[in-house]
Amino acid sequence: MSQPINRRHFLRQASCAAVGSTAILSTILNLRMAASAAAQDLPAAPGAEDYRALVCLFLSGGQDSFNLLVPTGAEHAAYAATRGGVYEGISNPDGLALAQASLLALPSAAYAPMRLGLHPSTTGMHSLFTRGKLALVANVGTLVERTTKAQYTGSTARLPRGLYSHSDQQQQWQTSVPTDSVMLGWAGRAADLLHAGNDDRRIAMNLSLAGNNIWQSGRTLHPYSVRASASTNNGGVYTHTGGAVALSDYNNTTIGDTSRTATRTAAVNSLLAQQYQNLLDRTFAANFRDSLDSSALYSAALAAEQPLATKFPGETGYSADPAYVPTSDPARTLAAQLKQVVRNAAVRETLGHRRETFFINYGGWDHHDEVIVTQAAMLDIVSRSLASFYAALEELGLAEQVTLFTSSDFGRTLTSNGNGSDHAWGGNHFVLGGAVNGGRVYGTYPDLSLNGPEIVTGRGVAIPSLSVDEYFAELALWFGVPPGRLLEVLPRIGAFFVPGPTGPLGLMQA
Amino acid sequence: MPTSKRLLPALSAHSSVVLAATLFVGSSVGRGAIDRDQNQQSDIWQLRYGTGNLVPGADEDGDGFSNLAEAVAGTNPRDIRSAPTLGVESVSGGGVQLQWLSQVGKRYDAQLSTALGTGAVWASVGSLPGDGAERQLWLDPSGASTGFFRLTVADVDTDGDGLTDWDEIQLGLDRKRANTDGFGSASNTDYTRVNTALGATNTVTVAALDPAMAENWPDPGVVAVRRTGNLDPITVNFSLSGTATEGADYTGPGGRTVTLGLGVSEVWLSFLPRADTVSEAAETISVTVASGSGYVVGSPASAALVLTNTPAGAVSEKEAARFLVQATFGPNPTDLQRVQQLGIAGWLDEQFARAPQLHLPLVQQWQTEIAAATPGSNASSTERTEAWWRRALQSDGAADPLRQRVAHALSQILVISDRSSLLESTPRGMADYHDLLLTQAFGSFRTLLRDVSLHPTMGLYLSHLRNQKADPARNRYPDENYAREVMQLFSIGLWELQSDGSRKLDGAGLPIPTYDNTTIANVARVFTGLSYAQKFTSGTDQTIIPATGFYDSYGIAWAPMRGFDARHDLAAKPLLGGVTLPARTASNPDTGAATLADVEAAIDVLCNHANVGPFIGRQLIQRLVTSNPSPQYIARVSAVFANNGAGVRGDLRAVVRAILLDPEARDPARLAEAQHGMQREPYLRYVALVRALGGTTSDGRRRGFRNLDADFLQRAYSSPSVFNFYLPDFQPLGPLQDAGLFGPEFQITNALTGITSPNRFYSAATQTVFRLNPSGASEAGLDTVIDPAPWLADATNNPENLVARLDRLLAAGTLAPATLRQVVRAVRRLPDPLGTTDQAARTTRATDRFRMALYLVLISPEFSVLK
Repeated sequence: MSQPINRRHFLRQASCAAVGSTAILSTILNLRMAASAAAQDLPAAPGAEDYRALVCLFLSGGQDSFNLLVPTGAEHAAYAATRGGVYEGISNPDGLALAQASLLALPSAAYAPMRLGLHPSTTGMHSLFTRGKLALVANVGTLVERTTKAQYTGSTARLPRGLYSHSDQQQQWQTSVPTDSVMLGWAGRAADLLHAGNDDRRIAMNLSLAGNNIWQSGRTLHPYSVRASASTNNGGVYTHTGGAVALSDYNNTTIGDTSRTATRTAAVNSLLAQQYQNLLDRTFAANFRDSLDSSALYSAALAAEQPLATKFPGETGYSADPAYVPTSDPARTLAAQLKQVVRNAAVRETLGHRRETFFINYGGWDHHDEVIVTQAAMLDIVSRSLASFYAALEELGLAEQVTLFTSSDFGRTLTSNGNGSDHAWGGNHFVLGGAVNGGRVYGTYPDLSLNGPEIVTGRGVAIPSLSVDEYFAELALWFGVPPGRLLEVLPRIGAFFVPGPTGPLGLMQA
Repeated sequence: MPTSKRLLPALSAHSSVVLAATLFVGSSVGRGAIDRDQNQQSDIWQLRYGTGNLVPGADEDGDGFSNLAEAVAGTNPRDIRSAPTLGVESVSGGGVQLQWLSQVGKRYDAQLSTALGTGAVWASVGSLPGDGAERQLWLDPSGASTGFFRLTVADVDTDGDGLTDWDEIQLGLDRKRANTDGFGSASNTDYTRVNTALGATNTVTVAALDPAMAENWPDPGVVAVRRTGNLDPITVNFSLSGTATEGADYTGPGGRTVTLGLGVSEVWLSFLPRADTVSEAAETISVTVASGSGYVVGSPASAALVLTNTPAGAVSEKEAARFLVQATFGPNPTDLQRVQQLGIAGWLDEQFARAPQLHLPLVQQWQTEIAAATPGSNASSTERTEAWWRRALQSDGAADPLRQRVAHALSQILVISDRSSLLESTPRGMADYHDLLLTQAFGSFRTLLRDVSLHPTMGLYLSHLRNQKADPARNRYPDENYAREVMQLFSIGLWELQSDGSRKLDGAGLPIPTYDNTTIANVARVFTGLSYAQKFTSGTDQTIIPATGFYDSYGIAWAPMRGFDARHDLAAKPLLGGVTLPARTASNPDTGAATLADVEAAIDVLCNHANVGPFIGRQLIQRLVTSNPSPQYIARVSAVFANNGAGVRGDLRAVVRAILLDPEARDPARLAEAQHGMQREPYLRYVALVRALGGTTSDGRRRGFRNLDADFLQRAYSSPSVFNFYLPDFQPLGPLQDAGLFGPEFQITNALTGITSPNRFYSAATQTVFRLNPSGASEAGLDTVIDPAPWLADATNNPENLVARLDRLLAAGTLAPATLRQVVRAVRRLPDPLGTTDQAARTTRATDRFRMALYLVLISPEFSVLK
């Protein structure tokens, strides 16, 4: 008599018991534990260790990404004309175009229809591109359906809600649902499916360096917030540290009738164990309890880490260049967050995670003003931070298992508002990782003439040629969402792509 | 080892399989369980069912299970329905299902044998912990023709302290920890403590846990009846006395006995006040323990509650405190007294009449001092933040706490932020912006929005300062930033609204956008041609003179912007609702008159839109009263926005009054509603602490309150974007989201702030002096310090009153008895000040107790959520 009690029965029991009991649902931790009802088993790992992580680098504010990926050939003329000419501080301060010669040219094989180049600040990213580790995705945006210029100008297209509005577009880039205001993000929905496949479910597989966010909010799982501390001084040596925070003078192993610590610990535990009638009280207490429990687990896991040899911007040993003093390197904050991702991935086994997502929010891209100068500085920060990030992943042998991609509210108007650009629609993005089919530009780069076939409103708004759903489908499939369940993660993918085992773009290696 | 077996009827399954099942009680008394009467049955089990000393092999209730078997199974030996019976059913498709009622703390093991009697070989086929509910196991006996099942039940001792899990659960102990709540020592575990207690005598005392009652405030007075000594169930007799009459003045507990169950050390008697029309002095209710069986009367044996007479319109302390959490940055003794003196409406009128306590003059004064000390130096955000705190803490006769609170609410709707480096470098501009909100907080919304639109800090923040008309030849167009946000966030929102805040729907059931991108482009044209109106004469001469050029240097950000018609788009502009602004003629000389005419006209169009009342009204309610106002509440406030009663639209004084006097804000019945209230803003909880405890500084200044945002993710004027710290429609995962409700402040409540916020309160409450400045030691000498003296007598002699006072002052008396109990318990656990005769040690101990009470109240969910 083999298998007298079959596993599904056990699972059914476990989830039924959980659903029936208010007590067991009183903490978020237990909610995670009960998440198995609709769970998807992770595919068994063939040989190699099965770990995959998705990192969302959200460039909030709306990056002017037609200055990130720019035509370098004959098409540069139309680009420059639409953008009001090449920027020159004295003679053309209103111009938003980058000079042709300043761009970092991509190999001709990268994109057949035209020659393209990267922003001059992105030398680190350019190097990763030429090594085949980084790919660009052209003119992506939120779409309800494929939209033509005729439909847009004739007002016959169904458009995303709140198009051009920061809050709506940030939400839609995180939910992949442009038709409605929903609070579930696509990483949250993916975690609803996949979290049960992790060996240890006590810490959410969705980790955030930017606090609560919609992208990682699921029905049963919400993001676990950890922090990165940039350039921590330890005897004159600056390193990025971070992790969870412990509650002061709280320790569940302290014993003593009159001990302050034992007294405080017992009182905190009792206050948080109460059944509060008020829903806000209950939500507050649940978050507090979960913070305590998760903090202990996460700190214990990080204690097992080995120091990284790779140095990040803001750390001692990163560079001898006096411009990069650890405590004043402007890249140190973003770099510290990326390093925390790597540190976390390094202890994945202790955490018991086979799938993780990370959310990093790097804001300040809403360049209605001073776009040329500010964007150059910010892309330098991104590029240098990512170079260290990828080097650290290679150091740990995790380059193929971690994929980073960008999101942003929207692209910006091609035309100038004086010395900045305004909210627009489609934009260019990039994906970094050893599992990326890099060194290529995916999608269709538009003709940037002000009257070009995909350019509308007279301000130079690009209608996206690729929907965010298609972009995300590549990533979700690579992450382990089965093609048959892709609709649960990207509810609107059907409008653009019939889910199959390979993605619509071929962006990721099988 | 005596056991009990009970064969259930053989089951006829589809096949020829013969099945039987039994429950087999497989162990004797749990390892080390307390058995002082040596009858093999757990003493805790005996107390749980009140059995006394039973013969183990007998079967008291005749249910087929011996008393011993029932003891092991944790069932009632005197109830035939309570027994470790096992059910078995065939399952369609094959196999059988075993089911039984399980108990938490026991472990169950299912076993199978193909034979009974001496030939039986029992093999485990599955093991489950009890969960207090019916448990089931599916078994597949494929291949066997005959099978017998049995289930064994055994005790578990998870923490290995010698006390079984089942016993610990009955006693309310922690089965995962040998020292529940950290009590005892390595050698004095739960087991030894329970064993000792079972030989002890009960002593019963009483204490007033929540002594303050008021006739018109339905928050019950609470008396705790406590026992120390034994753990057995006892019934305590008590009497009531005092000047108040049960039934007439209050609804009391009814009887005169109260039971403390097994392991229970405290129960509460609750006294609900009843309103009457008699004007009378405050009355008392006294509870006195009377003698009875199973306990001796200890000291104190009586406790008193005070029932305050509240004639119509009078305000009790708890009601006043709750109101002040809504209407100010938190109660302080001055305002509590004043609200009780004037009544709520009267206090509002007094506040409406008070002059704004401005921020810029303070910053300017410090600017002068700084520049005098170090020529060329300027005031920074440090001084601006200090001005904010000075005004927030002001409690003299000129203080305007309502105005400061409303301006703070407005600052989260009409957002600017020092995260923008342009603003960070103009603290005077930002202080002036706050002064604008203060000045207009009780004025006209239209004036407010106009002044906000013309304020240079807003012009810098949303980039319409020096925005200019299009130059199509160069593909240069007006900046749309301000145009978008002035509509989306500051006035009408994205969707057409009903007056109750719900969205209007079109024929297809879809929400209707208030505007489209063309509107934005046209509104952007309105906000062209604005720049600084005043400037310093030069980089070294700070004499202020008018600015005459669009690009003049040294512009100052604390005077409204002016128009430059030459830079303004003068053509006609179609806006909303069919209104088109006419083409204008540039003034000559250029006074900016045409520019300003367009701005004024556009502000009129926005402010007359029907959305403003519900859109702004709902957000003000969310900032002041509740995250989830009913549609009716929003509609009532919208109606006042539309017409203040004298035909005036957009009168913010009337709107604020309507929000704060609305039944939904005032009715005490809302205190008990599961969805009412809001998480108090994390930053404001800290302000409330300082206001309540009256911290002082040696020189009267309030430096150092700068470093709070890392811990709270919030600080006045430092939101990450124009979308504030949180969105009005944020829904946290869990019961709020499940109920479709909002909780904006939960957007900054996460696993990090879940700990950093309480840690901030920890360091405030536990440093050697009560030093509230988060920046720590570097501010020595400038610290805001709390004097614990007013609290030490209660910390020494009456911990219940210490906690009840903190509850009323900080949490408006909303801490539930269970919370009060936990805080009091913690305070009483710390060394007793009266346990030493050394005065210094006594003060230290009393201070320690105060710190503990303060910390626990500050981190409690009930303090953190305004009801």
